[in-house]
Amino acid sequence: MRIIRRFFSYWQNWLGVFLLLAFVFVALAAPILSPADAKTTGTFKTVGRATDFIPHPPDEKALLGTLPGQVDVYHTLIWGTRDAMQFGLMVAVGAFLFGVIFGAVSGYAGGMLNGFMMRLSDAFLTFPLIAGVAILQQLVAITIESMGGIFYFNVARFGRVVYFQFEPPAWVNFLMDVDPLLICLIIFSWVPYARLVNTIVMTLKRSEFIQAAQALGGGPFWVIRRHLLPNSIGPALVLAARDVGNAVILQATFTFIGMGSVSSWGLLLSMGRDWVIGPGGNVFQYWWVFIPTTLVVMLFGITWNIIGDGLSDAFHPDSGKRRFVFADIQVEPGVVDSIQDRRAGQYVQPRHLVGRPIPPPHPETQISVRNSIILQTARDAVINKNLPKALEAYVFLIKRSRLLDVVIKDLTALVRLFSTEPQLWKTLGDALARSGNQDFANKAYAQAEVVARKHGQG
Amino acid sequence: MPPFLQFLIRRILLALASLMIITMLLYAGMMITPPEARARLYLPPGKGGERTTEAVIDGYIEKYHLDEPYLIQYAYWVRSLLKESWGYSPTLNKYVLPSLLQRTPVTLELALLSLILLVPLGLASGLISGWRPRQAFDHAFRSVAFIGTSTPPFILAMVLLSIFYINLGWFGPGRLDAELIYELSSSSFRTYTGMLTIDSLLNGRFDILINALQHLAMPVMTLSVFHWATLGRITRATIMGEKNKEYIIAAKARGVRENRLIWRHALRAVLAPSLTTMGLSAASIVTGIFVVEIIYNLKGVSEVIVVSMRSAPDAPAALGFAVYSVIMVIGLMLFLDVLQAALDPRVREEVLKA
Repeated sequence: MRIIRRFFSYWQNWLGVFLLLAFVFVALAAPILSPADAKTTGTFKTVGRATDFIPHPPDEKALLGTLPGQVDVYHTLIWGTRDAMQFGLMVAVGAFLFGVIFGAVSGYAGGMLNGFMMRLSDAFLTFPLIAGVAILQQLVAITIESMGGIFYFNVARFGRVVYFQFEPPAWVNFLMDVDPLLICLIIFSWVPYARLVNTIVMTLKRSEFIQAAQALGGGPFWVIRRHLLPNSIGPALVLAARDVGNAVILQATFTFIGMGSVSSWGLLLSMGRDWVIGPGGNVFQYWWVFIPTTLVVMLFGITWNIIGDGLSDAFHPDSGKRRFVFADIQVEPGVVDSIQDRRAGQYVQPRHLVGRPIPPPHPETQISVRNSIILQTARDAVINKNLPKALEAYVFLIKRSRLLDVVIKDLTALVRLFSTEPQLWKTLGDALARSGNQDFANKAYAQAEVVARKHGQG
Repeated sequence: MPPFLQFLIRRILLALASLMIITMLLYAGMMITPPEARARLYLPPGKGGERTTEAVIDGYIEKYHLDEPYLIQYAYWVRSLLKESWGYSPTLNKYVLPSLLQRTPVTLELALLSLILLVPLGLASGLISGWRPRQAFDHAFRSVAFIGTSTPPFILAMVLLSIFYINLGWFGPGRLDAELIYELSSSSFRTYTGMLTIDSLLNGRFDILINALQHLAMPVMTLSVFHWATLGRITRATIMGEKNKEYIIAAKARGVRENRLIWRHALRAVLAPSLTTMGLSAASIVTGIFVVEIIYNLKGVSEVIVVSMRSAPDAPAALGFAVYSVIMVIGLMLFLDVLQAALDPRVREEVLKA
């Protein structure tokens, strides 16, 4: 829950989620947004004479103009979203599953086996994707040829074409359907997942709760599935989100340079290329040939990167970006002695106070000390029975409106111990008032007056 | 033995080990094809029909033990890699190894120029923007880097081509203008390295040098932008963590001037993580080089697979290309590691300890 809340505390992530939902909507609603007709082949629709090789500007028949051969840009952009989404998710899910399981198993096994498996995965890092695609294409080609088929690599917008003079065996049919780029992208992008999960599992393995699970008789696969995988899936999701966008961009790139794979967006760009980078081409005159597709491809990549970055920040909160601060941020004891607050001196209004007038900055807020350190100071002072010093630190936090819920919890505990201190009640009242709890604040102020009267009398 | 030499030997052995693992994996991938298909890797030159008769294929299956267990086949394949010329490519009409070697200088020239441009620029811009975060330069750098990392190279290439080639006519694709290509084969131009920029200097032909640079400008730009932005981001993140370390504060307290602090003390500290990340993405850098070559029609190593995918299937070319590009990636990793060790003694010690 906290991670989801943290994720939505950046405005960039709202943008990313909005864009993602827009892409998902377009992918799902493609048949409504741009219905197919008799002249549609795959994701391409012809809206005029197919022999007319001059791209026409946008009109009511083709909302974003046409390419040479009167291919409708708008139709392919819409239907290409569906392809792209499918392709990207397939790559990401494939790499994610294989990488996470590989990393978890090798990390759990440890020792020699772990060393061997990690060496093996390192080897994949030295293999360039383009060589993988080339070799897989050729492997499929020579296999089909040795079965008696005839193989063509690149036929216009259809990709590869295979002819058989007889009915080929089923597995050859399967080979012909496989997209070599899809396979290669999965083969060459699972390694980061494996390394990441491996590191996490190696660290977790020594922790007490895993040892407890083992001591209770949990078998290796149960421990991996029940405890280790759930703990390492979060960071791996970050990689997966980025992979979706990267995979689609790589697919478009490979289609553009003619290395197999049929990405609709990549084909759009390569069909219109002569009007952009051919002799007499002009981006500004024939903008619809190039700019809409480019924007969509880039936006798709950016969307997934924003989501990846956002998830990464949500899982590793201390990465130094400014964000809205919620009042209920917990302080882990370990981070107290970390580096100084980069946001020091900048007043960030807590979410529940947004819209209310910003209080004038307290002069002391210029001091750049991490709030958690101040809190620690206050707690130390309580342990040392130095109540005035503790109160000073709490007041400081209240004035900054930071860690208010922790402060309130602490003060509530303190008033039980030192119920005769009017200053303490007043501070608690201030904290409650700051957090928007005026009723309880008034009660605390009233109690402060009662105690002060008693104390004064006594 | 001096520690650096010890490190070098260890690192080279490690590189050879990974080369062996990856070729084993590669050949394991070949094993999914039937032996008849694998025999095509070894076919001699000749016309289509006569070199693929059943008798010829069976002969090659016999000679390279293609119907025996995996390890035996692998051993014979490695032996053929070491002794022979990596098979005959029907689409190139040549043996694979010589055609790969002949095209290497083009790729190497592009890679070297890009690395020389992008590594210092990436480190410098990352350092400056990370040293003073949220200042004007930092904002500018981060916006440009964002655009740089989110623009796919082929789209950047199209934009560059349409501006600088079609409209302005400053730069062009290919290696040289058509009229100068003839001069390369004339007797007055001697080839030393195969890299046009260096050869033209050695021959004293400045017109060729300028023309070659004009043709390299766009590929180098396309290749550099993405990796410059990535490297700069990593450097920026590292320096922001490093800036508050005690040794920097101590140096400040001793009165070390800020420029010296950045370019001497901080630079050394960020080198290791930045170069490590680059080393890990060496494969994608090499893929990027090939993609750029294909887009700009530079006839480098990647031409081998481009030609091999034009008509008939050509497995020897693709397999040779794969092995060769793996060697290039491992070479790049080795180079970056040695560079890092030369600059940062901590890295050397770590490797020796492991």
